[in-house]
Amino acid sequence: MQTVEPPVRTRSGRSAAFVLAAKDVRRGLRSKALILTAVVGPLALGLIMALAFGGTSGPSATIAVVDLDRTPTSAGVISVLQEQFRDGPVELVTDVGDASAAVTDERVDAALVIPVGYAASLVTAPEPLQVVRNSQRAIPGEIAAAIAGEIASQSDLIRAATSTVAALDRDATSVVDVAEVRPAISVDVGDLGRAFSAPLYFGPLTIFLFLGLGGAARSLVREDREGTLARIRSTSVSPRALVGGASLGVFIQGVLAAGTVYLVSTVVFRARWGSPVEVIVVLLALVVSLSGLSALIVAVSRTEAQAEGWTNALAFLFGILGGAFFGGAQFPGLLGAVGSLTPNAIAMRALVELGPGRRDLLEVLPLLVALVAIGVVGLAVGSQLMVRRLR
Amino acid sequence: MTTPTVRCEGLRKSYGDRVAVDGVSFEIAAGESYGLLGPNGAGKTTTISMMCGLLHADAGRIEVVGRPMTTGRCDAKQLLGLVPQDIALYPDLTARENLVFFGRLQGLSRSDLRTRIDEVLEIVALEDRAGDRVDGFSGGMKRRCNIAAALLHRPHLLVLDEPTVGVDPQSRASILDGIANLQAAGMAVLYTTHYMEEAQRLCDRIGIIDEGRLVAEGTQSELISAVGQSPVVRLTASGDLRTLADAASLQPQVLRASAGDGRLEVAVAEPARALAPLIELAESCGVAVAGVDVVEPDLESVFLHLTGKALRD
Repeated sequence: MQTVEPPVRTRSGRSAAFVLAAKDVRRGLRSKALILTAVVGPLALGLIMALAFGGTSGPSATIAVVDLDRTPTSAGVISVLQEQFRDGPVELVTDVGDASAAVTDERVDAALVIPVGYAASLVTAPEPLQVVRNSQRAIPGEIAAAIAGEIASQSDLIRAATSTVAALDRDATSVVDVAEVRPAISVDVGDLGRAFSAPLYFGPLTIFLFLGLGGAARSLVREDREGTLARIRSTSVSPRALVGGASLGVFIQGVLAAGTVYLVSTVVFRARWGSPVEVIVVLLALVVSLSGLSALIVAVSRTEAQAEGWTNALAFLFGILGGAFFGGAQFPGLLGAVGSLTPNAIAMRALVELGPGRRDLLEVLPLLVALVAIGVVGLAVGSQLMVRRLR
Repeated sequence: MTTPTVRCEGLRKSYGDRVAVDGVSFEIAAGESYGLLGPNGAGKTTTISMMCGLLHADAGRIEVVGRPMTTGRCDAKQLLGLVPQDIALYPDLTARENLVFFGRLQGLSRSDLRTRIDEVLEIVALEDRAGDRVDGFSGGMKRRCNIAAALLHRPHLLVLDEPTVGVDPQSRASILDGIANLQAAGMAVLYTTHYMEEAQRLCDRIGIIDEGRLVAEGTQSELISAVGQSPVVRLTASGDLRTLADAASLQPQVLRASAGDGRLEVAVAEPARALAPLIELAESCGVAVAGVDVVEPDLESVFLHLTGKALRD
């Protein structure tokens, strides 16, 4: 009688995890469930909101302009801005007193401050206008920042206008009346729409991604129901490698989905997210956070349906409390405080604070660490429970 | 003395107060096919789950080629291939993609895997459907692919849990032929089924499990003789069958006789010698015999005798 050849063995636990993850990614892409949920969903919702909020049908933000410079030049700048936004989408107010207090009290959505010495600085190194923002009012903050950026980019023209008026020996406050320099400050409203559209995509992304990754994280439970888990467990794959592979698969699918939303919204819809490196770091932290939470939910649920129910409930709770929709608008008071602890709110705050010309990665590090910590804790506890269950 | 491919000793598993498996012991040698038969809920799947390292045994010991099998022992798991009762394949992947995945999990190198996939697809006669998604397969093709995935790593022990459920006769024949070939090549086979004819055809030895206990074990003929099953001469007749049964039971070659519903059933040691005297006796009792059947004892009757249930119960 012939003897059976001995089995061939070359695989480590780590490579088994990669094999499992690759299979999950392949199935995830092929099923299109993740694509529909985590890519098409946020893009469609973001696009709808970008169209709604980015149009010129009326004011969509109230922004205070506080003139600390009190010079003819600063007055001229305010005058130009008022004219620019006479028909929306921004309502400018100038009589709010202290800018920070006005924003904190939510009398205005954001504030632009023309600093002391602004006019004088135009000759040498132009001082930028300061932006005071409310982290729960992402869109107005973006608009204010875009206006400040536009004015900074027009510094030369503003200086030229001021010089022209001086040369004509006329009152500098009438700078806007001088035909030659009238278009000196031009803020493109359409450009503004795109400038603040990133949060519109990012907000839905955080929630739809959570729903999508929740589905991906249920792969082990699904495999148990479908019978493939028994076959995998009858091989030499350890429970730890099995859970590790499933988690890696969820993370990779999250990165692919978030990356696709970022690329499509940037390239096709011309959304401005900020520095690519910073955006990628925020997206990675978000995916870690949501992957860990998804793993935890699956581990503490008894059935696949229960895990799905928990994911859906938490996703909508996060979305409502954390302000995932309408550009990050949140509840005031206690609900707002609770909502600010949700992963989507933390990620949104990090993204907004990393906006063009503002904070850098080091300054938002606590937010990123918080996101990663949520994910790591969720993953550690969830994995431990799943490994115990598989043993 | 050679090491058996698998040795189970005193396996025991309880779920709360319910004892699912109670002291089950058996061995399977290389190249031997062992059938584990039992009614539903008898403990077959629990036994298989412990053998394959999917479930902790409360007590007892399992060795595969001398290596202890537990849920955490990877080296022992490498030596067996499991064909679960359910189709354990990914329906949205092709047959080849499924086999690549399971082969890589088993640690096969890329080059070896390519060769092995072609070999196992040939064994299960699916070479021309390798690139098709499994959800487009017929029930029989899925079953064959299910078996192929367990063969990739050349296991010493193949565990098949009802591998022919719901397949057409042609696919069943193909599956049974393939298993017989593997067995002939030296692979040990553990086989559970609800189809008695499969067990009779395929299994060298059979263990009958009921209520968690292995109630009998042996070759088919050993089991039949162990439970005292005899051939039965069945007369289809009209007349006073009860009187005939009483008279027949007094005959020396008759072990027992019973009458009912137009039939007389007579258990005898040697049907050929008992048949003529029985017909003469019927004529003398005024019973008209319309037909005669000789029923040889089989596994079904052994199973019924031991468990009081039909195998499909």
